[in-house]
Parts: sequence; C-alpha cells; structure tokens
Amino acid sequence: MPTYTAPITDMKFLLHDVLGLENYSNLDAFKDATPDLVDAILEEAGKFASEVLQPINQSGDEEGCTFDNGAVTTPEGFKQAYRLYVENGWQGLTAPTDYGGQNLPQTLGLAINEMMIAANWGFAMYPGLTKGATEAIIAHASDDLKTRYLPKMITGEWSGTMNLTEPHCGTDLGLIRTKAEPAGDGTYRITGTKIFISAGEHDLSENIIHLVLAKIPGGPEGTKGISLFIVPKFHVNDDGSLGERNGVACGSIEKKMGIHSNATCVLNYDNAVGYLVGEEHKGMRNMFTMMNEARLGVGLQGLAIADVAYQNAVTYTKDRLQGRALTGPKNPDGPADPIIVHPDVRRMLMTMRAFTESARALALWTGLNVDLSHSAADEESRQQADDMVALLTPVIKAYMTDMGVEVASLALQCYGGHGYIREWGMEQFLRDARIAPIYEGTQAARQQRPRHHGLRGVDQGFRHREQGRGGVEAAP
Amino acid sequence: MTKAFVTENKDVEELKPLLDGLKGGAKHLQQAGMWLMQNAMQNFDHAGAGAHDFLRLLALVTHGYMWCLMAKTSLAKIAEGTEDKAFHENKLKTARFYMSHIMPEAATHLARIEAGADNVMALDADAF
Repeated sequence: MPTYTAPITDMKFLLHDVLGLENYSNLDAFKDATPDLVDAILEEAGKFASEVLQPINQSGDEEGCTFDNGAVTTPEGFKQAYRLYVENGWQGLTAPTDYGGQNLPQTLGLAINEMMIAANWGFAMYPGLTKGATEAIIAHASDDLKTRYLPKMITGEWSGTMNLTEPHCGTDLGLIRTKAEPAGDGTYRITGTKIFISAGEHDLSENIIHLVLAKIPGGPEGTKGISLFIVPKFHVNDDGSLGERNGVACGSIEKKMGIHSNATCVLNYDNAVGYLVGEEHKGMRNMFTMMNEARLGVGLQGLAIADVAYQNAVTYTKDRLQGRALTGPKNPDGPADPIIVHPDVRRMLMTMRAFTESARALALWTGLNVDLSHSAADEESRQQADDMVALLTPVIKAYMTDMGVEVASLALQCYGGHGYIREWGMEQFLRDARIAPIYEGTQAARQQRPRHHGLRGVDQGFRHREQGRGGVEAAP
Repeated sequence: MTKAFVTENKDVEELKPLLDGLKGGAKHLQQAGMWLMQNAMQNFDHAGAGAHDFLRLLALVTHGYMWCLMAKTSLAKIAEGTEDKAFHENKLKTARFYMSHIMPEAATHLARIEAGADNVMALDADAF
C-alpha cells in the first residue's frame, strides 16, 4: 500500500528562504502569515493529509461513488474525513475575514492544497471546486448573494461546482443551449442539461451551490450571450436555513478511468431558480475568474501526483533487490543490490525529482504573484504580478499536468510488473493523473492560445526584461 | 527576467554551469518567439503546430529559472553554515542534473517550432 509524507522541509525552504514570504508582511495578504504560524499550518496540514486522507485514497478508488435514484454516495470514510476537514477550518484558510475566512496568502493555500491532492486527489476535488466557486462569487456577485452563500461555503458546510460543459459542447462554449428565462422578480428559471460536473452531487455537504453558464433568450449569439448563475441544490431561506429542493437533479454518474472517488455527474436543470452573478451576458468573463483559479489547481494536481508517485518509487527502489551494480556489488552480503544502484533507475528517479522540486517552486512563486496581483502596494506592481500569472497559468496547467502523467508512469516503471498490479497503488496514480491534461480546458485548445495570449505575454516579458524589471521585483 | 538574474550573478563561480544552462534555454525561447512572430502571423497553422513545443520550451526555461533561484538560496545557506547542509547540497546536485539532462530538450522544441506546420499538415484529411 502506498504512503505519503508531506514535503514540509522543502515547502519551508521555498516559502521562507527562496520566496521570503516574511518580506511582504507589510501587505494585507501576508500580514497574518508569521513564520511560526506558516510552519504550524504546514505541519498540521501534512498530518491531516497523511493520517486522514491518504488511508482512504486506495479504498476510495476501489469502491468509487455509487448512484441511486438521484443520490450519490461517496466511498467509505469520505464523510468523516470531510467533516474533519470542515471542523479544522481548512476550507477558509485563504478566504476573506469578512465572510469568516482566515485571510492567509494564496501562496500558503497552494502548498496546503498540494498535500491534500497528493494524499487523496478524488477527495481534494470536492473542497477545491468549492474554493473556485467561492472566488467567482467574491469577485462578481452582489452583496446580497455574497451574504447569503459565502459564509457556509467558506466553512465548507456547503460545497460548490462549476457547470460549463453540455452534451454537444465542451471547449466551444458559444454553443451552449441551457436557457435562463427571466422570472420577472429578478430571478431566472434555468433549464438544460450539463455533463461532466465534478462533485455535482454527493453526500458530503448540506447544500451544493452550482455556478451555471446559461443563455438569456434574446441575448447576443455565441460566447457574448452567456451569463453566470448561482443555482443552489436546496433553496436558502432569508434566515439562512435550508428550504425545498430546487429544480436541479443528478441524472447519472460516469464510469471512468480514474478519480473514482469524485462523482462526475450529469445534472438536469428543469425550471430551477437561478440568481444572476454579475451582469447579463458577462458570464464568460466571470466564470474565467473561477477557471483561472481552477487551472492553477489542476497544474498543482500534476505536481502533487508526481510527488507522491516519486516518494513511493524511492521506497521501492531502495527495497527491491535485483541484479548487481555495474561498478561492483553495493550490498555484498545480500543476494542482490537494491535497484536504486542502477543508472537507468537513477535516471528515472532524478527526472521525477528534478521536475517535482522545481514545479513546487514555480507553483508557489506563481501563488506569490497571485497574492501580489491583489495586494501589492502600487498599481504597477499589481499589474506586473497579474501579467506574470497570466503568462504562467497556461504553462503550469499544460506542462505540470503532462509531467504528472509522465512522472506517474516513470514511478510505475520503477516497480516493474508490480507497478501494473493494483495492490501497489501505482496504477491508480497513473489513472488519476490522466484526467488533468484534459479537464479545465484541454491541452490541445490551451495550446492554441500562444497566438492570442502567450505571444503577448512573452512579448511583455521581454519588454519588462529590457527595462530591467518584470516579475523579478514582484517576486524574487 | 532571466537575463537580469544571469547578469546579477555572473561572478558566482558555483552558479556558472546553471546560469549557462538557463541562458541557453532562454536563447532558444527567444528565438522561438521571434520565429513565431515572423511566421505565424502569415499562417496561423504555424502557431497551432508549434504551440505544444512553445509551451514546453517556456516551461523548461521557467523551471530552469526556479532551479537557479533555489541553487542561489542553497549556496547562501551553505555559506552561512546551515545545520541542514545535506538538504542544500542535494538541491545543488539536482539543479545540475536539471541543466545537464532536462534543459537540453529546449533545442528539440525549437527545432520543431522552426519546422513549422508544413509537414504536420501535409497529408490530406482523407489520407488518414
């Protein structure tokens, strides 16, 4: 059975020594993040990941989610783990204090998130989607909607989802057919079918807040006519208590290659009450707040799976005795040498390690720029940090997820035939990893974007460099 | 960004092999960007065909930059007599592996980008 130890030493090195988080304590996002607090949170999160989440990772994969007449049951142990996650306050770590969050830097949030994913990817997706939905509501919703939905989402008592894909359209969202008819009282009635909705239905949280893209009839064609709505699974009364079921139901869940413990749902909307988030027809822009956040999170999945796969490959290659070192026995008293003595095994281990450690640095460095894009002292620094995030997010999404698959495959290779056997857990890592290059914008489509964004970003990068600035000051 | 870092640290002897690797990667990246700007505007398929390699190249350079940042920090830690010397020496060793064994992929990506879309799109769709 695989194990996981959170890379606390490496994270401390990056946060304190390389990025120098303490140097930013004058900024709002960092003011509460004292080194002692950061270290204590890393240690606690590491314990939670290894002791609570990792032990139900393999069993969660074997059992998967079950669907019965509209209800989804998560695997054994997930409810208890989720309850602990909520009780410990992990969900609101980086959320604003106004709505009950702890206002800690996103940089730290990313480190914690890496641990949760590495220990149990399928589990970590539930709170991960809530966080993305929360960000979109914070950025675009009215105060009334914020007050109604945010506090319980930030504790994790309610969870969130994002609903974009429909049976006939994935990447090309201009084609969506889900309708939002104005009801005359400021609310809308949502009707249509959404597919591939991660965490769309489950038994972990009391309510599920769906963020749904739909078209208001009579609006502009294509992506310019798309609006964003909140559609709660249960209506929320004025006093915050839960009312009747809304008109949204889970039609089925998918059987799929990996992430078996996370329910991938068909959601049917039938005259469901929806609340407009932001302006009419500005849904794409608003959803992209969530998508960008989610893309960083997906990149992090690549890194996280690479690390846990690497850790287990190290254990196995030190333990497994086969053959002798080319340069003479290293374990002369044993029947053979551990396979870690072989250069080709080293090549694999070094490739995994060289990726994992720099990917972690890049993820946290980008996280720092996310924080600075919100709270750096002047507009120019904020813009600079924001440009850097815009440039790096597609790189992180595409490269780290591809490498997650590659590293999981290398780690499996280190196990030889045992890597292909379920019991060892390595094939689960590879199956789980394989979704990341696909969802949140398939690589193939993302990579068309250098024409639109990448070149502009690189061009800006070059210009900043020529002027002797750009990102370097924003983050060392 | 990388250039400023390379210039700033050019006298640090221990960083030299790493900085050389980073400089090489950044040069390939810049050349790829120039090629795309000069060619992809006339034929968008050049951008589409080179996009995967361009993102990879950009990723290699940014990861290389991270290795240089980490190595610089670890050298400083060793110089000030850190208690965890092995951790920092392992960082430096892994950084050198990255530059010698991973960064060279940059040349392959550049070659593919500069080969453009012609051979990628040469077959008629019916020929598949």
